[in-house]
Amino acid sequence: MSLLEVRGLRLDLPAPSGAIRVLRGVDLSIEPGGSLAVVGESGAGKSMLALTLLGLQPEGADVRGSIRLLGRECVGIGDRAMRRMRGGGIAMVFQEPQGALNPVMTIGRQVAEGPRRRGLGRGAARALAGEALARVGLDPARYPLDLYPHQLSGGQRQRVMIALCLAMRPKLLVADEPTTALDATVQAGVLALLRDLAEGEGMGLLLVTHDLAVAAAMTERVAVLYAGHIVETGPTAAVFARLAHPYTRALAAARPGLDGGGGVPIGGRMPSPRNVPPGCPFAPRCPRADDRCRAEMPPLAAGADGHAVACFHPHGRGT
Amino acid sequence: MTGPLLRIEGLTKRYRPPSPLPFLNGPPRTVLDAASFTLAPGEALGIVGGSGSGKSTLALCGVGLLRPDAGRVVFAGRDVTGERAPPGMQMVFQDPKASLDPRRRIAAIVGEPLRPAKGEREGLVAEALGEVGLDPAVGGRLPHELSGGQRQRVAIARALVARPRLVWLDEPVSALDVSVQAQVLALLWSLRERHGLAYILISHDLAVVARTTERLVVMEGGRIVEAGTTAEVLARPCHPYTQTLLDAVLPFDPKAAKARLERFRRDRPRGA
Repeated sequence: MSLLEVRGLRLDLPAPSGAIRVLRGVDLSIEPGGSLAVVGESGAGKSMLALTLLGLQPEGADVRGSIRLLGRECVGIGDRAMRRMRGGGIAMVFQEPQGALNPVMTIGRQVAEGPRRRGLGRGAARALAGEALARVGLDPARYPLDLYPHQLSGGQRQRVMIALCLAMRPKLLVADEPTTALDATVQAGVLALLRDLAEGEGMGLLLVTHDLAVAAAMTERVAVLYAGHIVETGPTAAVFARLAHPYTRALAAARPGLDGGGGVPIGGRMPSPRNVPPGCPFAPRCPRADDRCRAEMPPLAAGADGHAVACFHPHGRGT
Repeated sequence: MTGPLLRIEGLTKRYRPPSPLPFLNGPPRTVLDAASFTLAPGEALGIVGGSGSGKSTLALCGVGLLRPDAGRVVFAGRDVTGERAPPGMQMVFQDPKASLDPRRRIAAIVGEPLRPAKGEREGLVAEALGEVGLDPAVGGRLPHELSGGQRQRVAIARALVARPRLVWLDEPVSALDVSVQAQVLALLWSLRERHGLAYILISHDLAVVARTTERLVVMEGGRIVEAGTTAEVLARPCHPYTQTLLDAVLPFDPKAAKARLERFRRDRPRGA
């Protein structure tokens, strides 16, 4: 049984000027202990996808399709049932630990809060919090449980956020740009920690990032999201070796390299989800687009190695 | 003009750690320790370092938003130490959301550095917006109506409108997506080529400065620990901290990236 199985997921947000179509038929799956990176620019719908998986989509959003977590359907099950799923089943690390942590509550109490709500006694929850904080490198001997978030650095706050999830022993950890707000050297430490935990606890990892290199380092599989569609997905090594979709390739070329290469801007802008043109959403920016691309959306066609591309004119190996 | 455009001489800044009881103040902490460098007209300099390395303090002292405890800032042959944004010098901050007044229209924001009497104000604002690749019609909008990348372009347009000779940019792209980062960095480089603009680009990410600067200064703990041409420093780093920053840039190849992460997992410092 898959840990997470998402099929045909659609998300519309109501707006006075007509629905905003944020997710437009997303399929993805993660095996137990597996890892997947969802890569894309801001506005592609990555964060909204992460929130929807946890049932935290904005109020009034219209969610259709299927999200099966540990074999149980999560779409349309209501707040109470979803709350039970969160924590033990699925937990999320947000981009900005400052915003996600309570500034007037000690880190020990915040980490213990989840287990307490599950009915664990105060002493046991506190012990569990100490353990979780030690697991993320904040040994209570050096970082007492009664510290407040402002007494910690940005990287340490992100570790508290991870400990908070960890204390609930989730089967799947969703991390939305967990290192974007951090320094390059601190980023490496937090990524290493997430990898350690995923392997050590047998936890599945869904990582949302705009940085292809973070995906390269962290996950076995990758899915590239563009304007609410997955345009390319497959084993990370295969996707990076080919960069078959013109968008994936443009994203790779935009990234500055140490050798002074890269840094090539992608011309144009992602279409607004309020006003989506027919056909492939990347066509207006794509050097390979023709009339067919502008008229019909290419299906996500899978090859033998599980590498799938939604493009009528994909790049081959080395082209 | 011969000689450097900017000379930073022994800039030092100390802060007293805050304490609930004023007489219990600890010894002052030196966050910027005798930093010195020069910048030629039209040159692009990168300053890299982690948080707490003193790079932002250096920029704030450089543009006069902070008064240094020691040292001098000499700009175009004139001592401008402690003078707020002296003529010909501008600054762009990390978070355009915080540095643009949310209640003012874009045209008013961009025109800010211009003197009120300046007649051709409208034309200059439109030109500056065009230069950063924005439609001058954007001038009538409010900051929240723009995307993050567009807002950062507005901040750059504001810095450029008065035709400065030097712009300090403190982490101008770290809040932006990779693709928008590339746009903003390419824009900076082309402005330098077209107008001979000198800039100082501050970042924690070596990959960001690799392409867009000619010389590099590496800072750690308030000190400049390494300086040289960007190519030299990247190819042959001398200071261990520079090597740490280099290692933090993940390679693009999945195999190499995973091997790098393995190394971090083996010998990373705990709790950092």
